[in-house]
Amino acid sequence: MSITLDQLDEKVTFRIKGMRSKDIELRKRLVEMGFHKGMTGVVMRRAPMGDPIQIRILGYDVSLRKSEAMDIQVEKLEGSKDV
Amino acid sequence: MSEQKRIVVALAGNPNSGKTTIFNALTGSRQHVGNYPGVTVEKRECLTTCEDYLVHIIDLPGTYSLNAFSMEEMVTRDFIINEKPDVIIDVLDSSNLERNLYLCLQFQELGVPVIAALNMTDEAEAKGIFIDSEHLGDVLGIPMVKTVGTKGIGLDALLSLAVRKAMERTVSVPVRIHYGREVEEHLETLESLLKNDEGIAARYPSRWLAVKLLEQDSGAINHLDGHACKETVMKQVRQSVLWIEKHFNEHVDTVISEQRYAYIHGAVRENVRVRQKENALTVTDKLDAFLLNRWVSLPIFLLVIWLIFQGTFALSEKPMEWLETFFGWLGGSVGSLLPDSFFRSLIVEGIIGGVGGMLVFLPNIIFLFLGISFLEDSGYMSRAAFIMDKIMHRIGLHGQSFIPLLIGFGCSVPAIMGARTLRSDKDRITTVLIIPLMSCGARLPVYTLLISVFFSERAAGNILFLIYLLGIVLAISMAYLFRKFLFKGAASPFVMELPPYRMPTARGILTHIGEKTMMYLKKAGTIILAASVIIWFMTSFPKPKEDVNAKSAIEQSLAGQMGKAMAPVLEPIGFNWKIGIALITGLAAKETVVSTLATIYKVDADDESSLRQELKNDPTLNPLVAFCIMLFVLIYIPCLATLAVIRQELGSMKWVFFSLIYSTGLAWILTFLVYRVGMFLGVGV
Repeated sequence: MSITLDQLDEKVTFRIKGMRSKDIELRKRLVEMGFHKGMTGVVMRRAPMGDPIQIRILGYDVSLRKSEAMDIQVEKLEGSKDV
Repeated sequence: MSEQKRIVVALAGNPNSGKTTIFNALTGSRQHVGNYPGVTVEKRECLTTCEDYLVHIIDLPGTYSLNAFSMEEMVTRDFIINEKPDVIIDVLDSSNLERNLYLCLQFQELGVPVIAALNMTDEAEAKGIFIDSEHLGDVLGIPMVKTVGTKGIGLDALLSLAVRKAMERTVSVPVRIHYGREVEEHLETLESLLKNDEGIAARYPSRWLAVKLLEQDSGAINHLDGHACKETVMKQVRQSVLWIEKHFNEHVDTVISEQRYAYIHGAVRENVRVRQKENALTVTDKLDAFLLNRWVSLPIFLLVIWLIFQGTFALSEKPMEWLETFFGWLGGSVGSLLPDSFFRSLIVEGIIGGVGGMLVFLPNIIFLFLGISFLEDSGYMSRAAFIMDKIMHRIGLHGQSFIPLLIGFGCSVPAIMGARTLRSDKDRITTVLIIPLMSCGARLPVYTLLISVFFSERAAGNILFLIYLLGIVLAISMAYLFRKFLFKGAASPFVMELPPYRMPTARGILTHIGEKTMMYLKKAGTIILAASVIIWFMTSFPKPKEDVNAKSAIEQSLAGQMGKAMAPVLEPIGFNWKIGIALITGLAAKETVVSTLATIYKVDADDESSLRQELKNDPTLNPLVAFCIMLFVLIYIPCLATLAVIRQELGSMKWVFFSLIYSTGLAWILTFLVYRVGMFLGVGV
């Protein structure tokens, strides 16, 4: 049972294990913004109302809704703070 | 006379990569802004010279990739395929090279000569990122120049390189990224099928088309329309897709994109050194920690908004007074110079009155644009969208809809122009359609007039607040309804870049304000000029036979007759024919409602207190009717300038008519309900 990106806490470093969205437009949009298998990133913070999520990937910051992050399978990496 | 050789250069790149700054630096103020044919995407181009060559530079829209989802992407693809520019300059943000290279590869796959500008080199080096541009360029097959667009560094070299590359005229073989043995086999099959069709082979690079078809790109599939090979090709595509997805247990587009990134990572890893502590905090990080902090971000955001509105009002007060005085003087002087005739009336009341009234509002607009440009250029705009997205999404909108809606409280025209940032059509159209419901500044004179006459001082503030609140509630409801019935389907992805904070340059801000103001003046100016003349005409003709006072004159005019003819529509909602005329003239600009009322009720336009007296004395008017008038003014047709901008931003008259009909219909229905219920309950009568 792997975890998905929306389930991670703030400040956690992750690596993407799979992009599982059934929506081709979402898949392509995520890819063009840098989300792909093997990529590492950090969950920076959530918006004040809990959504969307700010993520650092490939050296820049991107904002993603929880519903969109749900389709990205990740694994937590060592060295990340567990809140 | 020697003929100058002409080179077409296309400037492309990710949003926020500094492409526009470079374009502006290369072209100065000689740029020409238009539209790509048939779409509402802005096209900027200019002619300049470089080493004896005439260089035609075209600024392509900023995109992250060349999918077929947005008009910007399609315009970029179509331009490259159809116009075949001599060279593309891809502007890359050096601090996030990999994502920027994803687009670059796709230009290569299209077979156009590409060179790259490694822009924002200063920022990258400050972060400890050092790029070996020569080797990286060799590995990728793309000559690269380091640039700092904001300081003009490297731009001459960039342009020279572009010209040289264009003149090389080596037959461009599209760069082949190796997608892995299995996928390559399928691509080869598709390619040969495509090459067999002469029509296709002549128009599109077969390899590029094959890859796109395998990625199930809808644009590519459409390119096949009308060609004999379509059926066979699509059959092969389906087979290949099935095979690949089964073999890799992965979507085909995922397989392909991963190969692209593998290629990019390989090239970058060898040629880019990152020399920094893992967790070094940049200025942006520190600012975000504060500005996006869970507890503080919302109050700060509200403060920023308040500052912008407050600043706009405060700073534009004096200039507006000066302009009012000026136009008053102008009208008077011109009036005294011309003999009494309909020509004089046209100039003074029609043109100077109408256009002057709109120009008086200009300082307001300029300061509003100043605030917006600052937000955009600094990078805070995307943070605003980030903070507001959850709420916006709930009502069927998008985080980026919030600021345009807010601006609508000032004026709909810049607000609708601001909705351009919304990438998805559905979100953009919905936002634009409800912006007029955010009660704009022009309606305020109508409210203050009616409230001062028909409501007590104590109630005044509450009634005003109620009107604004109703506008917001209606906007939210309509957004929800539009989303549900007009724009069904999944919400567009929100994936949005949060660029680093950057200090806006004076030049950048001034350029933005200048452009937007010119656009506002052209659109609003021409429309309002035309509308003022028409309204003047309608209220002045036909001229009454004897010399009667202004009040009767207007009663017998075309507008007056229209007002009376509208009685069947006005009566159920409690409006008399005078209100009807005023509302018609409100089409030009909402402030006109007040001046028309002044004319109809016979008083001098400047004599506010006697207008109030006249209104009070009119037996057909009472607090309930007054409230209904305010409600109607809130909702009904946007002013003509707004309609013109809607046409410009949404691209077709369809939405203009829709806006006209739904707003007037909604206004009438709601006013009817309020009036009838009010009458029944005996409230405010």
